[in-house]
Amino acid sequence: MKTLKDRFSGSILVLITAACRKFMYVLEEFGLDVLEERNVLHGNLNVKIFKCKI
Amino acid sequence: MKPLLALAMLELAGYDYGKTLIDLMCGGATILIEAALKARNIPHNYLRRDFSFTKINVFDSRVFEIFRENFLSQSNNGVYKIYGIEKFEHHREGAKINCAKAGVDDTVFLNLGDALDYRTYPQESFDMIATNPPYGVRMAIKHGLKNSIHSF
Repeated sequence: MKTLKDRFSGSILVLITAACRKFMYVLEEFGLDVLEERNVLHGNLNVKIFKCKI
Repeated sequence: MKPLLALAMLELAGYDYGKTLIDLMCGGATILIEAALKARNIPHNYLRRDFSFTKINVFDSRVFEIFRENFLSQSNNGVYKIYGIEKFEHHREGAKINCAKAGVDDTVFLNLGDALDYRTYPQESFDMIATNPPYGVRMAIKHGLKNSIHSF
């Protein structure tokens, strides 16, 4: 995330992950906000799509 | 990853042809292919021929072809900044094959690189980063679900 913040500041990040809590924790750590999120049942996995501003 | 889910990610991100996009863990390039199709205004699933609705009695293949050709005539052959980075060469080769099959290999640029090492990133700036990091688990249908569907 640090790499992304350094290299792509101002860009939009859209990411799909099953590790939602961990991802939220990382976002908080780097001071990034979630603009939108969507729950998706991906196969038998509960995943989320996050849209964030870097 | 299902192409429709990749398209949903791009829709959520607000991607359109004027924006530059990179996938830092592109794998089979599903997201990049969908982005290229969207940028070129090519309908999703345009290569598919086995739609279930074609089996309905009222389905008229001539009307379907007219609509299909009409949609495809609105597409373009533009070259857009759609980049992918993949760590493994064999995955990148697979991604190249997928892009060629989808007819977008001339607008999707695939590099070998590591998402964790910014020195391997392209020098360009990007409006959007769309990625599907590895989950570490496979998406298999559980036997319980299979059995319940069978029972139904």
